[in-house]
Amino acid sequence: MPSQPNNTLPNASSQDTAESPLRWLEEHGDVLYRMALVRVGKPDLAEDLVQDTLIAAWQARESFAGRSSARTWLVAILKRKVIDHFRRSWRHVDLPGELTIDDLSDDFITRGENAEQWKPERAPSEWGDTPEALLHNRQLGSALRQCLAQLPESLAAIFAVREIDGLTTEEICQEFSLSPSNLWTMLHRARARLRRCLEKTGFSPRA
Amino acid sequence: MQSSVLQRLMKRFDPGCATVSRMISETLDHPLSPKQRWQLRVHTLFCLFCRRYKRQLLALRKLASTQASEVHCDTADLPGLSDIARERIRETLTSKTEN
Repeated sequence: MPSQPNNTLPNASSQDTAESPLRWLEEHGDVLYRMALVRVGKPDLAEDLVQDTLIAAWQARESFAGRSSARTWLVAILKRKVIDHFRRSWRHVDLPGELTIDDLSDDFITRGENAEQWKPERAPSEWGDTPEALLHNRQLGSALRQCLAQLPESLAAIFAVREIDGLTTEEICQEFSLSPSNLWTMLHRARARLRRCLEKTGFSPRA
Repeated sequence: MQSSVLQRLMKRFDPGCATVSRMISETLDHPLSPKQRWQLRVHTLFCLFCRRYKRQLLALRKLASTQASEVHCDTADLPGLSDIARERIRETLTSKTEN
């Protein structure tokens, strides 16, 4: 972050100007918090990211200069902060080890005539004729957040940037220094686990 | 006799559900090779579970993007900042004025 000699926030008496971080907090704090929460899953971490975002926004206020809405600008900073957080926590993850453990082999029969087929007890069950119609079901949103929180951090991060932020695979490979093949493997594992978790918690087989 | 020859041929061509499940995920990230596309198409024609798997991964993608857009459009049914968190952030922001 650039350090500026007069890089101070406005005091209480000048809070009400359009470019006050306290006003940003009032007007956009909830949206920023929810955006962080669906990506990182942890309330305390989401709060810290909101705070970091507002401080960074204040420090970079000259580059804003009303070119877009304050919210658009703050959201862009928050998304960057979330990716920076993922990259920082990434270093603590034993990535190669994680990629060699085939945790999905549980889903499939490994030997005999039916090798490579779904195990009957693990096979995808019927979610209903139109799972798409259930997407606005609020419980499902909360089930997705819970399931994401149960994933290893690196898999959850990769899923969030790909499917929630909508980054391209090229962008993700660059951000996280991954080969395309490693990225596809991680996404496959994240999706397979989330699917299974959602099936257990969000979708019950039709009775 | 004919069907067992057909079955053997199918077995040779068919990569099995474990590999197909990975292919299904990869269709969401990059185009498959022509051979993989055929394997996937033929396999899912006969395999109910992999057909379901494909629909469910698509539903998962839609669910994730719906979450993102609901939050962005401020229509999500999620709690906002708690009063305690808001106050803490407010204090931190204000304290910067004293530096």
